[in-house]
Amino acid sequence: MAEILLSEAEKAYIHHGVQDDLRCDGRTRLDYRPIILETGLVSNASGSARLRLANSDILVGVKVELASPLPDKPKEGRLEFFVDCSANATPEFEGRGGEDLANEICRFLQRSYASGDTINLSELSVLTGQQCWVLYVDILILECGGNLYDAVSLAVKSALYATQIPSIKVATMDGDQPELELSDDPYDTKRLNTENIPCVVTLMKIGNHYLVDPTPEEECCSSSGIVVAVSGNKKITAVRKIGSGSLHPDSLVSMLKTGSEVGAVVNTILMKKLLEEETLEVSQKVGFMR
Amino acid sequence: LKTGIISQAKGSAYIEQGNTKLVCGVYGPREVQKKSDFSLNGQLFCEFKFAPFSCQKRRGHQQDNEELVLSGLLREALEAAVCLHKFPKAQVEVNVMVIENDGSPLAAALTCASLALASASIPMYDLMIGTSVRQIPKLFLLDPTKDEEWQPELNHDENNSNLTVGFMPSTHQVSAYVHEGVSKTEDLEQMLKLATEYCLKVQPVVQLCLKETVEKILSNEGEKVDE
Repeated sequence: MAEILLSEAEKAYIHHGVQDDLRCDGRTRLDYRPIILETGLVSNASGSARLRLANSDILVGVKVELASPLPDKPKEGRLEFFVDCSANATPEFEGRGGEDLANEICRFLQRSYASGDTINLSELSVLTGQQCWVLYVDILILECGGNLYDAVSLAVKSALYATQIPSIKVATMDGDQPELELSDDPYDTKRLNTENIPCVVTLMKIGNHYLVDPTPEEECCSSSGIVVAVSGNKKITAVRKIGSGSLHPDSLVSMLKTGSEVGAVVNTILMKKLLEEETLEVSQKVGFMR
Repeated sequence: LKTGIISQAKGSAYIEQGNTKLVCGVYGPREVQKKSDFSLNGQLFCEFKFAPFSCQKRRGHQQDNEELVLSGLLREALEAAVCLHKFPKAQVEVNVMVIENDGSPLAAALTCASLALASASIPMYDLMIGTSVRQIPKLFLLDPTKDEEWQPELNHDENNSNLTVGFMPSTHQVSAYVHEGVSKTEDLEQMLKLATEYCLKVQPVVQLCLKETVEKILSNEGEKVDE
């Protein structure tokens, strides 16, 4: 994150605010900042989403390509993540500075999507053992305003929701080589079931309490926290402790419980909004103009 | 557990947990390489590496992404245990090399690294012990081997997960917590309790090893004085 220099007085102010359940911007400990979400921005991608969580700006593009499946999983497609921290996000990300963070986010996403509960990869299979869809999810971090894990996971979920995979039919088998027919109609696509895709909730510990959706200043004040990936049915698919402090087991457990509840709420609201956006008749994309 | 295995390192430790074997070397405190990074606290650099022959599939020479993430996790866990303010403007390097991976490499690395740091006389708040728990429906398994560990490709059903915990027994604090798989919060709570109980049981073993190390150093110095 950017170099935030906080004086001792400012840190004390944040601490006291958290104790009284009133943060610097007026939120309670479990409130999120306003989120602006738009899908379908990038016409070249099969699915895309842009999410703005206060100052954090994330752009996700999903491209689908045909490839051969992994030898030990012939009936499944693949999901490949790539995170790129743009140098625009914060001066620290210049050159290769953002690679560590990008790598961590990428691995965490991979782990949270890895369990079979989240996404049904067999839907992506075209021809068992020979062809499958590979979804390349490319995440661009344009601006860093704290709480990157949450913003990235929400943007990825929205992009996957909006992804349209072309329908493919297997025509006659020409000897050993099956012919794949791509549908002529650009609107003849299928969508993925994204109900159970996990949403990530970051909880940072400040003093004796923990907060959801920390700002960069609050992240500076806190010594440790956890990142929880919660799937649609309140199940936890991945957890990681971040920060260089330590946590008491009891506080860790209570943070997990709160995280899973918050995650479930975020999930339902996000799905509702995505459905609303789809049914909305808007011809002009707002994009980056707002 | 064994210390002093690398004679040239400031501190070192070797751990064998079942068939999982790993070596950790600690170098420092040294001057920080990048002079521009002045900081009041010391810095910790961790490198986690699997030897190419350690796993069933050969691993490359360079650190791949998984190892980079594990290095980051190890560093964050150790930063909670080490008194960084005791060596400002200095850095400590911790290098972990996995010789044979038969399950829970991160857990073994946490224990080994903290033992190596302690034998290198780096000031620490507490020893750290790593442990991992595997959850299968209706059962919890402590310290799984490679075959028992959760593989994302194999187990798709619910309530299948792997949890690695780094725990400091005396101060009763969790410094590393990594979970993958699908679980309910109640199960996570139980797994954490199992892990902490196990760490408390392992603590005397690590302490005994450290005590023997100190006795050996003292007797060596005693001999030198006699000469």
